[in-house]
Amino acid sequence: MFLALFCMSVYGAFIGPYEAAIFFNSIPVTAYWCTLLILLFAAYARSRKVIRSIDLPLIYLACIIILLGSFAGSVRGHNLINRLLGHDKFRSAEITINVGQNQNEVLIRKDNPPPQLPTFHTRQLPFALRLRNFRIEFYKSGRLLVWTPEKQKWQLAVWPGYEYPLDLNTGSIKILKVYKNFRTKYESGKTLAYDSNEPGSNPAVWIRYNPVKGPPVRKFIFSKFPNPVFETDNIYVDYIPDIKDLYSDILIIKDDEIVAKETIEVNKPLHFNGYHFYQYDYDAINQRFTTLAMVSDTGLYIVYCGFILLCIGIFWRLWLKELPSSSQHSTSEKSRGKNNGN
Amino acid sequence: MEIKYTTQGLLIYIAIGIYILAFLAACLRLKKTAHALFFTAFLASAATFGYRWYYVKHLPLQNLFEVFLFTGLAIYPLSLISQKILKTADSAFDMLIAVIVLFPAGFVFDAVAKNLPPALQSPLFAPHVAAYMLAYIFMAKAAFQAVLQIFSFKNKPQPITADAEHKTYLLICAGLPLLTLGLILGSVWGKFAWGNFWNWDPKEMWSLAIWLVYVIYFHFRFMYGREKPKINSSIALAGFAVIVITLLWVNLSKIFIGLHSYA
Repeated sequence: MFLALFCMSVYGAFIGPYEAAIFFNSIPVTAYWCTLLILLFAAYARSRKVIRSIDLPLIYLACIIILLGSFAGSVRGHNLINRLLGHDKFRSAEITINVGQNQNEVLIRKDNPPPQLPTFHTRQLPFALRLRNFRIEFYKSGRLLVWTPEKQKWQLAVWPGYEYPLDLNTGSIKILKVYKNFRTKYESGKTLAYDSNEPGSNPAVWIRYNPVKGPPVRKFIFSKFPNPVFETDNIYVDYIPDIKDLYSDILIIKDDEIVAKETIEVNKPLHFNGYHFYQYDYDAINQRFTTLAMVSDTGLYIVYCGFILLCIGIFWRLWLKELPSSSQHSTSEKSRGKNNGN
Repeated sequence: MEIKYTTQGLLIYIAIGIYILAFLAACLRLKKTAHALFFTAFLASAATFGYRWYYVKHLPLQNLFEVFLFTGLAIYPLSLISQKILKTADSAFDMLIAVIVLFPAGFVFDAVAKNLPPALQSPLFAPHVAAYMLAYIFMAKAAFQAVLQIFSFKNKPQPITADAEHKTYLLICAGLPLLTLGLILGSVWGKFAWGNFWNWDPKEMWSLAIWLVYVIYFHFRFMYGREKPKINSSIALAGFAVIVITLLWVNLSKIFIGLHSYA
């Protein structure tokens, strides 16, 4: 059975994530999972009878728990639980919210929709989400993409003060200064550039291009305005600021009352009413909307229990029992070999 | 292939050079010299890794270049553990592993520093990658012992060939819990970052395949013990082949595109 799962895993790796998800949830593979579950139960029962300690049975039990939790968290599992317990929970959905607006409509992806028909259907939530603010935090430094019409390309880390030689025909680029929020002000008869602390984001980098022939040229490269050209050598430069984090400031409103207030970031989802809300997509240009992924928590804590038991079982069995006894065995075999030699 | 004319590159080449000297000393059975050079190479690897950490301003485990630097650093402590606890003394091969992993870091992989994307800013990221790389080192050592066992000559005394099979077993016993931990940490991290603890990503599928090969190894050995040493060793070698596929082919090939593509 494990060999079959190995082969299916390799097959799944080649067909890609979307097709693999469909394959592993198909009817024949579901039959495989059920068979595997039965065999794991049998192995668990047998190991309890044959082996005195509980480490090996614990490993089999953990695998059973993980499979059961995974099934409960799948689309089929949700449909079954909804039918048995009269719930109305969906497995996952997306919700897009504009800044300052309330939203309680989610989009649920359909399984295998017929061609040319909508791939989503909508559902109203018993509560609403309000996006108070959405912002992107950029790293101070990003990347410069430099290329020529002859398809030469360079990717340069934007570290102020660094100079990067390109090649013999294309000169070099020096990073002079990096701005997270570029603004200009008029002072003493001059227009000056500065990095503003005001709300907003306008990433830019000031570079000096040293062409092979001709004087150096200084230019500001803005992430929001791509492809400035250095005419002397016909090279194009783009500035890609690296995103440090995404923040969606969310209020949850139920019966006209604010019941939860949270800032959702990547790796920091919001948990409410049996769902986790994850940062999924966003307005990259104006930062006026965010898209959150809603995922049901059904089966999740069962899987976590299985993970903990599997770790305990495997470390116990292999590190605490097998290694000490097997290392002792090999030491005594070696000394027996030496004595026989003498 | 290109030579890195940077401080980072110089540190890597120094480490490679000392590891090569240590390996040669071990081959010439100059034990004390080999061990001293091994330790010095470890210090050089630590300097390399530390310099990278200082340069990128975050724990450097983001891409193949950084992961291979970490592996070059971890070889010496794991070699000591193998000698003292597992009683599998094969430091010459450990030195060779260090040279093999540092070579692509020094001459092949791109060393351009990149900022950590939001998904990688998780406390689970470093333990997940570290657990996997430590496991891979144990499995590489197990594969070496498996090769010794498979290609043993018929007139060699039995304890020596049985010893190689037993060492394979001990090393896989040491590595499989780390593989399991890496798989589980990756699942939990995926849940926090993307909402699912399993995304059917090619890297995840191949990682599961690695775990399954070693589970099959244990089941087979549990059933037949040492009666069929060549089959035991073949399964261990197959596991290592899948590791090489997962580590290199999946990361570098355009066939497999998924959530782990940043590596």
